[in-house]
Amino acid sequence: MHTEKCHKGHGAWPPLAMAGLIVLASCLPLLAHEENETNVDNERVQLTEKLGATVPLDLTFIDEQGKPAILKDRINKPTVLTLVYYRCPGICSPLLHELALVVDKCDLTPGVDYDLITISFDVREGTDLARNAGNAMRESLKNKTVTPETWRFMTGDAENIRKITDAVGFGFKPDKEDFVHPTVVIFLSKDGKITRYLNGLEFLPADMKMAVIDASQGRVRNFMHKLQRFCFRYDRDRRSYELQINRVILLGTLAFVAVFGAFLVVRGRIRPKK
Amino acid sequence: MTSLATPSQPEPVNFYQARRGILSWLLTTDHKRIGILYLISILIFFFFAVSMAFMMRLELFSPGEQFISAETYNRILTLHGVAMIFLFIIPVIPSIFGNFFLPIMIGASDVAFPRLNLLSWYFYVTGALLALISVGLGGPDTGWTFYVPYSVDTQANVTVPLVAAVILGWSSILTGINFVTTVHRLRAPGMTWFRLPLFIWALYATAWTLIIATPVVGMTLVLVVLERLLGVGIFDPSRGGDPILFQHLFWIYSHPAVYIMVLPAMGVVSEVIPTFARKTIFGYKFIAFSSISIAGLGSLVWGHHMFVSGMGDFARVVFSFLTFLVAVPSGVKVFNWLATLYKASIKLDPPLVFALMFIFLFSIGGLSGLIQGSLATDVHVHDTSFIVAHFHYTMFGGAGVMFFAALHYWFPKMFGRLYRKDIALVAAAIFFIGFNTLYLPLGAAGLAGMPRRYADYLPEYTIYHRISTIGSWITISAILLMFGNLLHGLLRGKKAGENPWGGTTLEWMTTTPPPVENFEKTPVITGGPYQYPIEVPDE
Repeated sequence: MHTEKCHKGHGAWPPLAMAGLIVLASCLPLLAHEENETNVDNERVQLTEKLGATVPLDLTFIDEQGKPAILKDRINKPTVLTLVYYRCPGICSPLLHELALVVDKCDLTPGVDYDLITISFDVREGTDLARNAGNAMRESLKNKTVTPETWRFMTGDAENIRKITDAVGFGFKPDKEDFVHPTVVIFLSKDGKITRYLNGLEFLPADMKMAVIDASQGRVRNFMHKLQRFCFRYDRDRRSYELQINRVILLGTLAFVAVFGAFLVVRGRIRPKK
Repeated sequence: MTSLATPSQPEPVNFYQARRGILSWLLTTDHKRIGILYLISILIFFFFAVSMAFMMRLELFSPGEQFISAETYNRILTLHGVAMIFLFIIPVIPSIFGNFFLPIMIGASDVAFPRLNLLSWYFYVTGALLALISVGLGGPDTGWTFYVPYSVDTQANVTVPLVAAVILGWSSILTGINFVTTVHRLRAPGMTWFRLPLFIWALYATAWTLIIATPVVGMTLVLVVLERLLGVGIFDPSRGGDPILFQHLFWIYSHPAVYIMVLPAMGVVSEVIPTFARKTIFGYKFIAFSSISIAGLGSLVWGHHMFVSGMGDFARVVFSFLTFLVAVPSGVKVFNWLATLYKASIKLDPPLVFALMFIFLFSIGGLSGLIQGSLATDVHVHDTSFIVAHFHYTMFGGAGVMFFAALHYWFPKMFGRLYRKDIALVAAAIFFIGFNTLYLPLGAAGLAGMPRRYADYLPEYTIYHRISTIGSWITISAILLMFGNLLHGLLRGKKAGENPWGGTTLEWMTTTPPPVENFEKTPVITGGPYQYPIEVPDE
C-alpha cells in the first residue's frame, strides 16, 4: 500500500517539478540583474565614512551673494557641514530644521565656537535658492546672532560638488527630478579634517557639543568640556555619542574617595579625654 | 603591648547589664550590641541558606526530577546564592566581629559614627527581609549574579531582590565608612599604624574595598531595575545597550567582594595563629601590606569572570596576568603564618584547628582558581561544577570556616562563657570530612563535564552527586553539633576569665564581657600587638 502510494506520487510530481524548475531557472538571470542593480544603487547612495581624511580646501563654491568663495577662506574654526539640495521635497528640510533646533539648544555659540556651512549638491540650483533657504533657516532660529557669515548656504558646479561629496564619502544619485541621498551632519576641524559624522535626523544638543569639542582637536577650553569628553565616546557604527557609564562611575568613585580622604586628613585624629 | 587599665574592684558593669529591655537593643548605639544583633540576624539567614543548599543536594541525589521542579530548583539556587553571598559571607566577619572588636582592639570606646552603625544594621535587616519577601512572591530565578538580558526579561520576581541587594549594599558602605574613619581617628594613644593588630589591617583594607566597589554594583542593580520597569536601554542591545557592560560593572564589584569576604577571614587567621602558637607573628608588615595589596590588585581582576563572554585578547591576557599576580600576596600571608607556626609551642585548640583548616581548604580553592585564571584551561572548566567546588573551597572553606574560628576564638570574650573544647574539636573534624566529601566530587564532576546550575544530570555523574549529597549531610550534622555546643556553652558553660587563650591584643586586656566603654581607663600602647611570651592562664 505504502509503496503504491509513493509510486503514484512519483508519477504525478516530476512534470510539475520540472516545469517549476524551468520557470525558476528562467527567472534567475532576472533576479541576479535586479540584485546587482540594487547593490550598485545602494552603494552609490550610502555614506562611506572617511574619518580623519581632509576635505580639499581649495574648492570654490558660490555664496548667497553670488560671489565665489574658496573653502579655506571660510573654514577657520570647527565647522558643521551639511550636504542637501534646497528644492528637496523629502528629508533635507527636516535635516536642516533639526540642525537649527540643536543649534538653539546647544550651549556653544555659533560664530564663536563653530561655523555652519550648507552646500547644495544639485548643480542646477543657484544663488537665489541658497539665499532663500539661508534666510528661512536663520529666521527660524531663536538665536538671532547667527549671520550669513556664521551659517553659509552655498551652491557649486559639478566638479566642485563631486570633489566635496567624494571627500566626505557622501554617495547620492539622481532619481527623476530629485535625488536619493543620505542625511548626515559632518564635523570638520579648522584644517578641514573630518572628525565626526552624526545621523542627521536624530541627534541631541549634547551630541553636537561633543562633536564640536572633538572637532576642535583636543584644544578644549575648560574643565567641564574635558569632563564631557571623558564621559562620552563616539560610536562609529551608530554615528552618535554614547555615555560611558563605567567612566562616570570611575569619576564618581574617585571624587568620593578624594572627599572622604580629605575629611580624614583635615579632621585628623581624636585624642581621647583623660 | 600596653600599659593597661587594671579592672577596678568591684568588677565593672558589662555591656549586657548596662541596660535592659528590647528597646535597649533595638535603639542601641553600642558597637558590641550591634555586633550581637548582626550575629543573631546573620545566623538566621545562614541557616536559611543552608536549608536551601540541603534541598538542592537532596534533589541532586539521583538523576531526574525527585521532588523539586527545574524552575523551583532555579529559584532555590538563586536564594541560596543571594542569602549566602549578600546576607552571610560578605557581612559575617566585618559586621559581627569587626563591629564588636575593632574599637576594642584599637583602644577606642566606640566606632566613629555609632548611629550610622545602627542604621547600617537596619539597612541589613530591611534588605534581608525584602529578600525573604521575594521568596513569598515566587523568588528570583536568575542566580545571584542577576545577569542581563535574562534578569530583565524573566517573569520571575527579580525587582524585589534587586532592591534588597541595593539596600544591603548601603549597609556595607556605611559599615566601611565607619571602620575607615574609626581606624584613622579613634586609635588609642601610642597605637601607631604598625602597632595595629593584623585583624584591623584586614578590616581596614576590606572597608576601603567596600566603600569603593559597593556603589558600583548598587548603581548597576538600580540600572537593571530601571531597565525592567522603564526600559531605559542601558543593557538591552535592541535599545542601544550592551549586556556585556552589565557583566563588567557587576564584576567590578563582585570580584573585590570575594576579597571583602576573605580578607577579614585572613585577618582572623593572623590573630588566631600567634595566640595559639604563643609566638610573635612572622612578617607583620608583609602580612599588613599584603592585605592592602590584595584589596588593590583584587579590584583589577574582574575580567577573569568574563574570559568566554566576549572580550579582546589583549584584555584577557592582562586580566589573566593580574589574576596570577593577586595570588602573590595571598601566598605571602600563607607562608608567614606557616613560618609563625615553625618551632612554636602550639596549642591545638578549636580556633587554631579551624585556622589550619582554612589554610588547607583555601589553598585548594586558591590553586584551583589558577586553573580558571589561565586562559586556555578556563575555557574547559568554565560554567562547570568545577567552579562550584572552587568557590566553595574559597568562600565556605575560607570565610565560612574562619567565621567558625572567630566565633570559637572570641566566644568567651563576647559572652563571658566557655564552650566544651572536646565537642568543638569533634565537630571540626566531622566538618572537615563532610566539607571535602561535599565539594571534591563536584570538582571532579566538573572536570568530567558536569555543568553548574543544572537541576538534572546525565546518569554517568550519579556517583559524584551521591557522594556530594552524603557529604552535605555530614557537613550539616557537623554545623549543628558545633552550634549546639556553642549554645550549650552560652547557657550552661563555665564562666570565662579575661584572657582564656593567652592573647596579647587589647580585647584580652579588658573585662569579660567588656564594659560599655570597653576600658575602665583609656589604654596607652607601648609596643606591638603580638609580644610574647606572656603568662598563660591555667585551664
